[in-house]
Order: sequence, then C-alpha cells, then structure tokens
Amino acid sequence: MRIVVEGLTKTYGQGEAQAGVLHDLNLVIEPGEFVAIVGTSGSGKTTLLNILGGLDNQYRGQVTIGAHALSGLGERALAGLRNRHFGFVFQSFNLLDHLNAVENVALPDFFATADKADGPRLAPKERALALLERMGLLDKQNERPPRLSGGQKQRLAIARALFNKPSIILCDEPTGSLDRKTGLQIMDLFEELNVNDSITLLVVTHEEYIARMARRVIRLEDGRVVSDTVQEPHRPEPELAIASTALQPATEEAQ
Amino acid sequence: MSPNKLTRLVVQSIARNMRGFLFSSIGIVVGIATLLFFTSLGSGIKHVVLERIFVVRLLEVEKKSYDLGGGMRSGGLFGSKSLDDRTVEELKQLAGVKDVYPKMKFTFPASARGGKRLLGQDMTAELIADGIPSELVRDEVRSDLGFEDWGAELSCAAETPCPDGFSCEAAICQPKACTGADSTTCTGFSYCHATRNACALPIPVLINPTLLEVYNSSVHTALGGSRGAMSRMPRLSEDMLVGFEFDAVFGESFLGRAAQGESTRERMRLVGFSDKAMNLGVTVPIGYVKRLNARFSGERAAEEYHSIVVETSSNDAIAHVAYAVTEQMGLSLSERHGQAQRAGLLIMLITMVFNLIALIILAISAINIMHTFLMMIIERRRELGLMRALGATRSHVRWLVLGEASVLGLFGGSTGALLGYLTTRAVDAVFNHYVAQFPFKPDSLFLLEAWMLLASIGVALLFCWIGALLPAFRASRVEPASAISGR
Ligand SMILES: Nc1ncnc2c1ncn2[C@@H]1O[C@H](COP(=O)(O)OP(=O)(O)OP(=O)(O)O)[C@@H](O)[C@H]1O
Ligand SMILES: [Mg+2]
Repeated sequence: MRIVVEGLTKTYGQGEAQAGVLHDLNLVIEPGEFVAIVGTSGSGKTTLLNILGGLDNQYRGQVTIGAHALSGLGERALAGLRNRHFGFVFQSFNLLDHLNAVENVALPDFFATADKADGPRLAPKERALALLERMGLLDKQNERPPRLSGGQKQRLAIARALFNKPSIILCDEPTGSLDRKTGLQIMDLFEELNVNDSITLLVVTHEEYIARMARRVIRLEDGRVVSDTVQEPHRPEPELAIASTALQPATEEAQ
Repeated sequence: MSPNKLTRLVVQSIARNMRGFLFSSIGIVVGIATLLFFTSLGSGIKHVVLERIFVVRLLEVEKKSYDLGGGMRSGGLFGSKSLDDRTVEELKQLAGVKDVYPKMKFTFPASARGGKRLLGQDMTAELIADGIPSELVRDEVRSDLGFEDWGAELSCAAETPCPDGFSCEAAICQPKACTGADSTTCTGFSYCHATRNACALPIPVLINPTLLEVYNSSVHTALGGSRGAMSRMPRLSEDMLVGFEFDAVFGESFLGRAAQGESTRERMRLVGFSDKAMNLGVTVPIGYVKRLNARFSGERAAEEYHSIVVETSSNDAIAHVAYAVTEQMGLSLSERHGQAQRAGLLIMLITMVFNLIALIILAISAINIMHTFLMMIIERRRELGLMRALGATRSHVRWLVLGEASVLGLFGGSTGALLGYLTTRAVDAVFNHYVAQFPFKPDSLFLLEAWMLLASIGVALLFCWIGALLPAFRASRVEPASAISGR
C-alpha cells in the first residue's frame, strides 16, 4: 500500500500553549520500501508514525494509505485498517504479561472482522504457532512475557504484528531496549520480512547503525523533513548464527 | 466482535485479577442475598397471613349495621338490603366474582356430645354451626357420604337409587324401618335413629382447618401441661378426623331451650375440611339449617342469610368487588376484610423497607464497582491503547468493560442468590428448632419463587452495568497513541 502525506501539520495544545510538532510535511512511501525515520529527540518521529498508523487523527493535511484517505475513515474503518493492514512494534514491546506467547500473538484475532475475501484461513492458534516457529520461539509458546529475554519479547511482538499479514509494519525504536547484538538480530528479521514478504517497513530510530540498514532515510528536525535520501543498505557486522537460524523456516508464510 | 470472542477476552481479563474481581463482587453478593432474603420472607409471611389467616380472596358480605348508642342493630331504620337469594344472584353478576355462597347460622341452641374414640372420653359442648350450599365444597369432601342434604326429600329412579338405609317408594326415597338392636337394616353410612325407629344418614359436617390448627398448636399444647385426663389428649390430623361421628342435640343446650319445637337428637359425621367452613364451629349443608331454623325459630329465620361469602377470581379483583359491594349494593364487608387489608399493607411496608436497605447496599456496591473499574482503567490504559492499536474499536473496548461487569453481575447475582437461599434455610432451621408451635406456624417462613432467583441475577446485572457504564465510556475514550507511549 502506498503512503502519501500532503501538507501534514500537527500541533499540540491550544491558544498560548499551542506548540507545533509537525510542519507541512510532504512524503510518498512506495509499497515494499524500507524507510528509517531519524532525528533528534523531540523532532516529531513518534508523532509522525502514530499519524501514519492511524493511531492519531488530530492533524491537518492529508494522509492516504492505499486507496483510503485516513481523515475520511470513521473510527471503525480506521480500527479495521489497523487490524488488517498495519503491524506495530514498539520499543517497550507492549506485550500482555497475563497471556502466554501464543495468546499474545493471537490477540489481534479478537478484533478481526470476518472478511470473506480472505478465503479460508488457519485457526488463530495455528497461525500464532506458525509465526512463533518463524520467529524461533516455538519452544516458548506457553511462556509468559516476563520470563522472556528482551530479544525474545521483541520477536514475540513482531509475530503479533504479523498475525493478520500486514502490508505495513510501523516500528518505534524497536531496538531501543535491546543491546546492539540483539538489535541487529531483530533488524535482520525485519529485513527478511521486507525482502521476502514485501512488507513496507517504517522504522523510527536514533541509532545510526540501524538507519544504515534501510534503503531510505528520512531525517526530521523540529517537525520538518531536512533530508530524504536513498542509500545502499549496509549491515554493520558479520551475520550472527542465531539470526540466520531464526530465518531458516521462513517459507510457507511468505508465499 | 462475536459473543464467543468477547467472552474469551473477558475471561482472559478477569482471570488476571481474580482477587480484585472477587473483592468487587462482595457488595453485590451481600446486596442480592439481602434482597432475596427479605423478598422471600415478605412473600412467605404474606402467604401465611393472607392465604391462611385472613383469606383475602374471600370477602364476607354482611348487612349494613348501624351502631346506635353502643349497641349493634342490624337492619337500620329503613331496612337495608336483606341477604336473600336475590342478593346472591346480584353478587354472582359482579365482574371479578368467581363464586358466591350464602351462609346461614343456627338461630336456636344446640349442643354436641362425643369424642370418646379420639379424645379418650366424651365431651359435651355448645354446638355452633352454619350452613352453606353443597355444590361449593364438593371438591373438598373426603368421605363417600358426601356433603349433601340427606334430610331433604330425595327422588329416585332405577338409575338413581336411594342412599344407604333408604328404599325407593313411588319415586321418593323413604327411610327403612328399624329397631334399636337391629344392625342389618341400616347399611353403609346409615344408622338406626333411636326415637324415630327408622334409618337415617348422619348430617355431613365440614370444619375449617384453622380449628384443627388452633387445637393442635394451642389447646393441645396448653392442656399437655395440665394434670388429669386432659393431659393425655392426642394431636389430631385431618386424616384421623375424617369419618369422626358425634351426636348433636338441636333445640336445647347449656344456654337454654328453643322458643318453639321439640328438641331432637341427630348424628353428625365429619366429611372433610374447608376454608369455606366457619371458623369456630361446624358447617353443614344449608338445607339442614333452613329446615331446623324454620322449625325452632319460625319461617322468617329460614329465608335470610347471615352473610354471603364472595370469592373473587384473583387478588387483583378484590378492590373492585369490595367497592361494588359496599358502594353500589349498599352492603358491608366483615371486619376481617379490613384486618386483612391492614395486615397485607403492613407486611408490604416492612418488606419494602428491608428491600430498600438491600437496594442501598446494591447502590453502594455499584459505586464501589464504578470506582474499582475506573482504577482498573487507569491501570490498564496502556493495555487498552494496545488493543486499539491492534484493531479494537471504541465499542469493542466498551463491551470488554461491560462484559467484565456482566460476569461480575452473573457471579455476584448467583452467589448472592445462593447465599440468600442458604440463609433462609438456616433461619428456617433455627426457627423450627427454637420457636414453639403456635397457630398457623408455617413450615417455612419464606416463599422463594423461581422468578425471585431470576430477578436477583437481573438486579445484580443491572447494578453492575450501572456501575460500569461510566468506566466503559472512559475506557473507550483512551487515545491509543498517548496510552501506548505512556503519556
Ligand atoms: N501528547 C502530547 N502533548 C503535548 N506535547 C506532546 C505530546 N506528544 C508529544 N509532544 C511533543 O511533541 C514533540 C515531538 O514528540 P515526539 O514524541 O514525536 O518526538 P520523538 O521524535 O519521537 O522523540 P524521541 O526520540 O525522544 O522519542 C515533543 O516536543 C513532545 O514534547
Ligand atoms: Mg519517540
């Protein structure tokens, strides 16, 4: 799904206390792109991502996702779009501690609207198990998040984001709580999803080595795009064994 | 979201915070238990009072009486409406009236003697009696003798033979002649009348179950503590009494002799129990009373009824019928009607006061639920935001909160109903064990009906929903973007 942003302006507060966060942003992101959004703290990266993901609809300007103008969608339609087309991955994982791994992955199923166009699909639990396997977490299926490592938690969160086969995954500092090595493994997973599944990836980060793995880097400064460059992706360190094992079974799901 | 998914999501949510869940249900449990307890107590007591002590559906119509200088004078100066067959017909026409039965009392002295078989020795007592039409109590008669006027002229034919001790002569049943020692002529229920030297059937008698109740719980208990023959008097059951025979002397008693006519001795036989029988006396088919009154007090005494009992089709019709009788027909209702109304009102008021207390408990627990749920929403803001991000609509979130409230209501309601029920059983057990027998002492103080149980759960649900409504809307307003970032 193509993302088109026209004249996007976002302000917080009202009157005297009004503060502009995004100023007249214009962007086009093609399907299947891998985009890093960088910038200093407070530059508006999270704000932009939330608007693109349909989590925040208090803005001026036009945001179009595929055929849908977001501002024209009602609350239900927007929720449906998030459920079926977007995957979210956060810095703080946002897993539910009272649910085990399978239940966490299958959580979006509760809010899914039955769509006949999807054709017959596997039962939610089967789908969740397949995704856990793909993320190398099959042995942790009955584990609850507090008993998982940071990297495992983020892989669980990615499995959840993939549950409804999204077109776009939006990540806000996905490696921010992880050490560099684990962060790279997570990025390898993202790259694999981008390449094999043609999922559009928007990754907010302020870590340079993460940004260098993307093919396009958008830099924000005080709510304005100060640079938008296409680059040759560069993986900073040699492949790690553990990352490739997690990637091996990535076959059926990709077809 | 399908009900199935919603249920699973709600169960997942509740399972996490079981302790908080149980804690917020305490108020509901207590409130519902209280509500059920007092509702069933109220209706239990009402049942005893209004169905057994003052039977409200039965209105006793009397002639209007005027209180003049302390003395009661029936009739009034211009002769108020008399209670005759015309009045009976008029009453039958009233809307809401199911049955009408006139009552006529003995207007002459009478006494009864008997009881050796039951009480160990014969006793003589003043006989107070009235008569009612046989057709009103046929269902309640438990003896083959029936509740018929065997003293009337009975016609007979081939297919309708005469009763025991009678033979058919010229289409009329005539008593067979007999002598005192001869026990074969008078068959079945009939006996040989000593002075007439002819067979006769005993006069069938009904008594009010109240009389038995009063005897068993008061007289029997009180005499049990006394010395002598009386202390050995047994408790009596209805079954023991049906078929009991005793002798009655008409026209003569402790109080004196009738103004006219010669006294006569007749046998009476108890054939059953009926609420329609008089309270402190015996009730016989009205034909006997008419004949005896005519004989001992003159023809006029045989024409007017003393009262007419009107049975309404339902409790709802009482007010309407009572109005028609008193205001439109110019008759009056017996004092018992007023008593029943006052008793019913009192019970209703007391029940209402206690139910009000129960509702206050429930209202407090609804406020408690609201508070708990609001706190829960603050705690779970991030989780709710995440659900929104994963595709939950505002209404999904609302239903999640209301679903949790519903489980709370179902759980609190059914647990409360169970607790209330167990409390009624415990109170009944204590009551039956420690409280001595008294008239009308019921087996249970409570009347628990299925609708009360359903209503308990309904009320619990209602209060949980009331408590959860505001929190549900608050929860649905959680902005996913700021909730997830924890702002
Ligand atoms: N809910 C809010 N109310 C008021 N101001 C807000 C709100 N959310 C964000 N802001 C302000 O908007 C600006 C941009 O915030 P945003 O979270 O998008 O920055 P960011 O680029 O993601 O920063 P970081 O790298 O620290 O996450 C900041 O100045 C912030 O204070
Ligand atoms: Mg941010």
